[in-house]
Amino acid sequence: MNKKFPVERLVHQRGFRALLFCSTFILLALALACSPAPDQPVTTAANNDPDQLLRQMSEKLAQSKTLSFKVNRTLDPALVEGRDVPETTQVEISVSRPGKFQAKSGNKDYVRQIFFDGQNLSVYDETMKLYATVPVAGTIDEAVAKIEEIYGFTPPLAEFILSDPYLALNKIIKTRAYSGREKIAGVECHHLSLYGDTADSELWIGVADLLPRKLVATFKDIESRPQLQADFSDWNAPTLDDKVFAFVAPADAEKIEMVTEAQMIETSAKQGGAPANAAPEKSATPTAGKKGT
Amino acid sequence: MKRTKRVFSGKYLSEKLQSVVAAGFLGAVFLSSASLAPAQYGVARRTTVVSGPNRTVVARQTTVVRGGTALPHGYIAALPGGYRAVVVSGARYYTVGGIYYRPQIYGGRTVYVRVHI
Repeated sequence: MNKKFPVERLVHQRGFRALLFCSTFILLALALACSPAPDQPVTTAANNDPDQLLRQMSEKLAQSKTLSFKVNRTLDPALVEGRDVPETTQVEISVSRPGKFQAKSGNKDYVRQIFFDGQNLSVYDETMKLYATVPVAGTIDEAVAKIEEIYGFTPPLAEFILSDPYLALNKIIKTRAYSGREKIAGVECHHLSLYGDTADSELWIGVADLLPRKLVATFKDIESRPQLQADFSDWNAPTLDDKVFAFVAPADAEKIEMVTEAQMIETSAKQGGAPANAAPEKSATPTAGKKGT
Repeated sequence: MKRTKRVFSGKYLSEKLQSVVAAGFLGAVFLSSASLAPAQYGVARRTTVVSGPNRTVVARQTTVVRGGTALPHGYIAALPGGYRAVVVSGARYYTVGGIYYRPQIYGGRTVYVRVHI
């Protein structure tokens, strides 16, 4: 007499064993089909770590000996002197590590270029056909620091061309968060929210290539909370000739002086810090015959 | 990025701050300073702080300046309409309405300083 429980009886039936085998096979096949291919990005807790993603993006940028990319940058009016509508500018940047970069920015109002060849910094106002060249030697990192210290400005989005972008970004980011995945211009991206003392930024990094795709910075220390938006595109690692970074003045361009921040502060101090729109007073006299520095 | 701090006289105060100063703190000794914060993504900021007695901050205003320090008196960021270029002693100047300007590069862009010729 068969005393087995109904389930046990079922298991011992030949048809059920075949069904069980087939089901297991199908489940295994499905599991394999659904797992990502080795060359595809894998979503794990580790690569949803915003700090890790920033580091990976930084490493990706730093690894490239040469780099070129485009940025469509929009600045709210509060970020541009004398404007009451947003300013959109196209910026093209070429980099050759460790010591060369060139940036061209422009819109319907102006076109400007900055050249750094490891020895000299040149700023060329293509619209007005004016240029200035000053000696600035060193690596890109050293040049960016010197340009800011001596000449009081930073090339646009310089944080992304330094030898360690993470280090530069980490200085201005206090806290960070992973905000999910989104498509930017058709590219699947990690969305990071980065919070700093003076600006909060949203940064989108490509899932597959770990390159920055979009940046929106909100300057919260300004009442109107103006934004800078940068849409990155055309990332390449091309072969770049040294000529790209060496400025050769066009025949119809005139050399003028590049004023340092110290000179401008001194001028301001002599005037008692008068704002630019104050009543005119005695101003500088040109040096006859001098054609810049 | 290196943080720089510059001391200016009170003429950088906005109209609002000037009115505050005039209304409430006339006669007091103030120290106003403009601190140029490190540029972020190519955008620099200047914070004007007005300090009262015992270094208490009585007002603060932040503005953004593309390039470096705000342009001092006599400088303009763009030429007025109708200007024309002239060459004086081999150097290029621009003139409009009887006023002459000499171009210079400052803050990565061209600025124009008013000059007497």
